[in-house]
Amino acid sequence: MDLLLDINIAVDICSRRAPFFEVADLAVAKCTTTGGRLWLYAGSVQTLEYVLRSELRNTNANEGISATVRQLAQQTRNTLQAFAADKFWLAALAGEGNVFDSTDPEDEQLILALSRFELGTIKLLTRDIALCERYPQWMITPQEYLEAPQRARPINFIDLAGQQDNLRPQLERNLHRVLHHGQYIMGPEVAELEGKLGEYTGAKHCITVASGTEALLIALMALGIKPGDEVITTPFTFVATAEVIVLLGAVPVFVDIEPDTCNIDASKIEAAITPKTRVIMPVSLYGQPADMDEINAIAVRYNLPVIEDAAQSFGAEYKGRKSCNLSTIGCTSFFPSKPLGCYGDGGAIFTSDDGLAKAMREIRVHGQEKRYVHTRVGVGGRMDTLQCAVVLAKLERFDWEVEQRLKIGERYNKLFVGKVPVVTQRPERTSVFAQYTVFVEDREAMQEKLKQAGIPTAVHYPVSLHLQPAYRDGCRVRGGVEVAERMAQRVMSLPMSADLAEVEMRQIVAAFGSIAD
Amino acid sequence: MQVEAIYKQGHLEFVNPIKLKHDHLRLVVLVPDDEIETQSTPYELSPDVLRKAEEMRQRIDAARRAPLSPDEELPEITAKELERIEAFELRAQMRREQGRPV
Repeated sequence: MDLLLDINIAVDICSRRAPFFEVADLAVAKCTTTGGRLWLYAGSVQTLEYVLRSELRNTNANEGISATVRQLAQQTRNTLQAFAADKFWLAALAGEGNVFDSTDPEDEQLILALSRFELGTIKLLTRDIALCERYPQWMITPQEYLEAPQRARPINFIDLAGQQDNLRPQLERNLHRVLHHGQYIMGPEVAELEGKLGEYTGAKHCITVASGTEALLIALMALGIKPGDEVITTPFTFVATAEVIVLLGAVPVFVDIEPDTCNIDASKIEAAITPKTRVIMPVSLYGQPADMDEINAIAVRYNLPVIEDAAQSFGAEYKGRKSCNLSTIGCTSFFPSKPLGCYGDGGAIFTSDDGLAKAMREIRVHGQEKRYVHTRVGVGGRMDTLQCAVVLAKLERFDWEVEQRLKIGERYNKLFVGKVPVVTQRPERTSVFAQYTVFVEDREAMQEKLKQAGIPTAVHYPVSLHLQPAYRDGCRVRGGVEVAERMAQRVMSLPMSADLAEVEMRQIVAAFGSIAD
Repeated sequence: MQVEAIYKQGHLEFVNPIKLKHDHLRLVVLVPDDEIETQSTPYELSPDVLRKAEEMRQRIDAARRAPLSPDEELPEITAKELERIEAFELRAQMRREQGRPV
């Protein structure tokens, strides 16, 4: 459970106000130790400062500290800065402003702020008994909190909440900017994001789109894919990869995967090329690019474009170059669970080809070259401004997140040595670990046992696409795809986030070890 | 003078109300020995919680006790700040009168 700290508790702690501070210290420590979040209400800043300033006079007198009025002001701010360093600020919203018909506007603001949360997930930590009696469902005293059973925070498969906590000021600032300027479609954040993403990947052009799926569809449309054409890809991927091919009347040609990386086996691509082949579309599965040098070399020999389906790999590198800028076109997804995700659907296309960039920009907006002049058939495929604002906020700590993901992936690898085989990361490539995936036998039983141990898992993906009912008849399989079929039975993904703690990782691996034994 | 008071969750309340001259003053209270909790904490808390509380206490106290700049180097207290100080003293006074913590 999270705690919103009432002024009296914050002042108890900051001023070492006896006899209250010790129990308040323990309550706050218990909250953070058990994975709860500590919030301070942004609307209370001034009250906090002036009440603490007043109280510090008493503390100083008791401790024999001499401070002038100006020094007292400085001491107050020093103390509050240290106190607030590990707390989260809860914004004061417009609806919490006009509270003047309330008996106590200050309390009313706090109640309104708390009511944004699901009941039972947060309480106001206070020693104001009158407030506790009036709103028992929202209040708790330090003593009550310390007596309550201690529950550890459950491990999340993807910790989006933890990420949001650390980005809340940037997210709120960006979202409010959009709400105020009101350009919800193609607002200034769209171009700003495209510029930053292009710069990040090194690609000349970035075109944001409505989703990762839309990115693939638009890319294929720009390449002129038509009914009967063939697109070589992997059967071991999310359905969108094949879906967009079939939507255009083309045929997905599936080539088997490597057993250790689960990426398309580049050595088997050439044999699948026919006169109808128009595109090679590898997927950077689990966040690691496929063997792009070999794939690009084949493509050059046959004069074929390559679309990297980088839905899971934005931020990864291949021989020092960024994923999304490894081939003719790169397509990524900003689905919320992706390494760089928004709070809805979103995606982006990257290319350094001016002609393709122009075509894809037009296709994104109904094939429109200029207003009401439709030079080609397109789609309504824009990414909205609010989602771009979210990604812009997340970009601010994305380098740190990628670094963390690499560290966590390496740590997992080390902890799993001798226990369970894991997806291999090849030299000269990095994975952003959109999924951290291991290979297990009797997967269902294993998932159930891990679930009992409080560890969520997922399967990416349980069925090779050539076996899916909608694609069985419309696809072509080149050679065997036995590896894909076998891996679909064995892969299992584990919790992965940039904020995954060492203690959580150890808990996951330990549970795994005891199960495997 | 000696007066009787009831202690309840951190507050002392006089059995017979008395009007005092100041909002804040030091009193000497006689606490029965058998009411004093001899354990360091009556709560069942993990060593991690106790360690965290101690770390936090040291960090806050260090910030509070950090050397202060010489008075003359600090910005003047403005009239606006003085007004706020008065306003928040009033808030504190009202809360104390209501028997609520400040």
